[in-house]
Amino acid sequence: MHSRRDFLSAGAALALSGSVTDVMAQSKPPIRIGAIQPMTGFAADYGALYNAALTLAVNDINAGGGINGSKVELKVEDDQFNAQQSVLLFRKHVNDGVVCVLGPISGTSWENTAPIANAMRCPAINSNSLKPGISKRPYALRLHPPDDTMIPEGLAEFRKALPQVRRVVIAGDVQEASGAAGIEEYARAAARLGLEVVDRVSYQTRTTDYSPMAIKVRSANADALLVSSLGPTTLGFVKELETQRFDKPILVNALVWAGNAFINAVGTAGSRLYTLGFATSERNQGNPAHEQFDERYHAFAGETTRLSKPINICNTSLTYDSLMMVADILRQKKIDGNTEVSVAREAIKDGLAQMKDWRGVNAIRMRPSGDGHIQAHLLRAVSERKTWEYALPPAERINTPYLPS
Amino acid sequence: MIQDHLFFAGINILLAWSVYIILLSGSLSFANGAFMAMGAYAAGVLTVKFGLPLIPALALAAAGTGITGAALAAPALRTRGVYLIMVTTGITFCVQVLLENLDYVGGVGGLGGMSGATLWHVYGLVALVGLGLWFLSRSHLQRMLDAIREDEQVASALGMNALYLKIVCFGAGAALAALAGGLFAHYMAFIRPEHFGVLVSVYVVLYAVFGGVNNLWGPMLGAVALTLLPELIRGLASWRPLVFGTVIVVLLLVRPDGLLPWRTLTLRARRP
Repeated sequence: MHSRRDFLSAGAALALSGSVTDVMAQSKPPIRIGAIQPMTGFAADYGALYNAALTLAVNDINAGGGINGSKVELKVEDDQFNAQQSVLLFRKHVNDGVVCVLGPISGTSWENTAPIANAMRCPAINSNSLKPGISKRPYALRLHPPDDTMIPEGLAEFRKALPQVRRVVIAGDVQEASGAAGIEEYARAAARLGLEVVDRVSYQTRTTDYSPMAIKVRSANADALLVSSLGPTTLGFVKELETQRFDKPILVNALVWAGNAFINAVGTAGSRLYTLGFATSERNQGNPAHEQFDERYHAFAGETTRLSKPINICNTSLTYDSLMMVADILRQKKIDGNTEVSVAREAIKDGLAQMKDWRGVNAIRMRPSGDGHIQAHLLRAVSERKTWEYALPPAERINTPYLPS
Repeated sequence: MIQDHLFFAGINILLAWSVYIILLSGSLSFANGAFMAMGAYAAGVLTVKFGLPLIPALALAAAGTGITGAALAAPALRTRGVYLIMVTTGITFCVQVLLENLDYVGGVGGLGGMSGATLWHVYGLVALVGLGLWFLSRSHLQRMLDAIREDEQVASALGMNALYLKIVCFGAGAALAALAGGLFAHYMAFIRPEHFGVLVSVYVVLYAVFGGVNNLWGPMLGAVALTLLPELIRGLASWRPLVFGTVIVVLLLVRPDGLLPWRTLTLRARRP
């Protein structure tokens, strides 16, 4: 039987351990981590969305005593969704002594930054971009599954959800790298799944009049349309398709799932719209960790940002995971704020290289290409609630990974 | 970050001078972004795919682009004023679309793997080109170019081959833009066609106009000021583009001939 003195001793020990952790965290210099986000300009919504996830992760790490007694200090730089700025800011972070850089978020910026991360020997983690083949081991890794797995997996579910679809048109932005890469992935996946591609329709980021493309799509008389382009471009295209009363299902790759603006603006043009993703704000979808994150994220982002409501949770949890992953590696490698920056960078690089699987909010499998894999699913736009929901119930979803060699 | 700013300031000085050289003969080019792209891709292909060292690759890229620029100038310079602006803008669009559809250089995906450009390369070139322009500004050739710029018909009547000199200037400007592009590509490590859109050409002209086009120092000052200004006002966040634009508009209203409007006098003009 425990005496009252035992309880008091235990309580004192706990209080002491808590205060000791606090004192240690205060006495050691912070661990500096850099982030690159578009905080101003047309893509500022993306920055606000992902920055909230990063801040939430920093708060969680520091509330738990930091990393081996050092607090995390996050320095966010604004690249305005501009690849040249991303490169400059990446160099700035490296020269400022951060142990790793999270971002930049766009595929174009990531493609520009990944080689520089290797040249400057500073780890960089991307958790948003989609274009396949642009991560560069060992220093530049991406947690987000690229389109070479998302499109085949998602299109398989699209096929299952809409078995009447046999003939498709592929449309996309041929000028933008992620859009163009998505078009090719659609073509490969369609051939593999036995879908007949009856036509290809291309437009460009600069396009303002989508009516000729919409007419071409309609005249192809296909069962469905597969689209690959960034949110603002896709929005113009699907609005034109709605004007021309195109009433077939439209599948757009995850370029429209990410971000907050598209789903809030698509309106009735989204009534037959699908996308690809791995998380929604729905409950009981088989990932309790994400449900918990979703609740906390909405409360936090609702208070700290001016994002239009409802906030699209999309892949924000992956940004949260990226920082948690770095913190976990640093803890395991006994790195703190006193460790030399180059040593900390090498430790993170080695930790990432050794990582095969990661289980945080998301379960991520790391591929040899330096990209993460998370099973992609088909999501449908619910226009009236301005949100994405799973198109199929959990039991009917396809959970067979498609992992190209 | 300071090294990056210095590097890009140097690149922009070269680009501003590439416009200045063309302006010397009274022409205006909105194609220098395209020439920059041609130099960037040509030098990138030569170093990445053919293994050439950086400096010979830059020299070959500049020579090729200069010849292409001169060849394009021959028909383009038959037009003047707003028509010439439209033709040169068209060249920029054409080059961008061509690069987007050329699989050999990566298409929209871009070209990567370049490296090796340093501040020494850029400022060595700035010093060389600056010295060349300084000698030019004190030479008889400058007087001939002044004459062609002020009145091409009178200059021709005096026996000057105005079209030839304009083509030479256009080709030299294209070659200089190509050198800047080659260095840019080997500093950035990765380039795509969208890096060289029409906006780049507009900015390059703006550097020259902002600083003043009557002497070689004006474009240099304009390029440095407009490269560093956005960084100095980075703290203004989303207000930055508005403040940047307002500064340009106000300064061009107050000083329509640019920050340094004086004309460089040639040696002959200085004699009593």
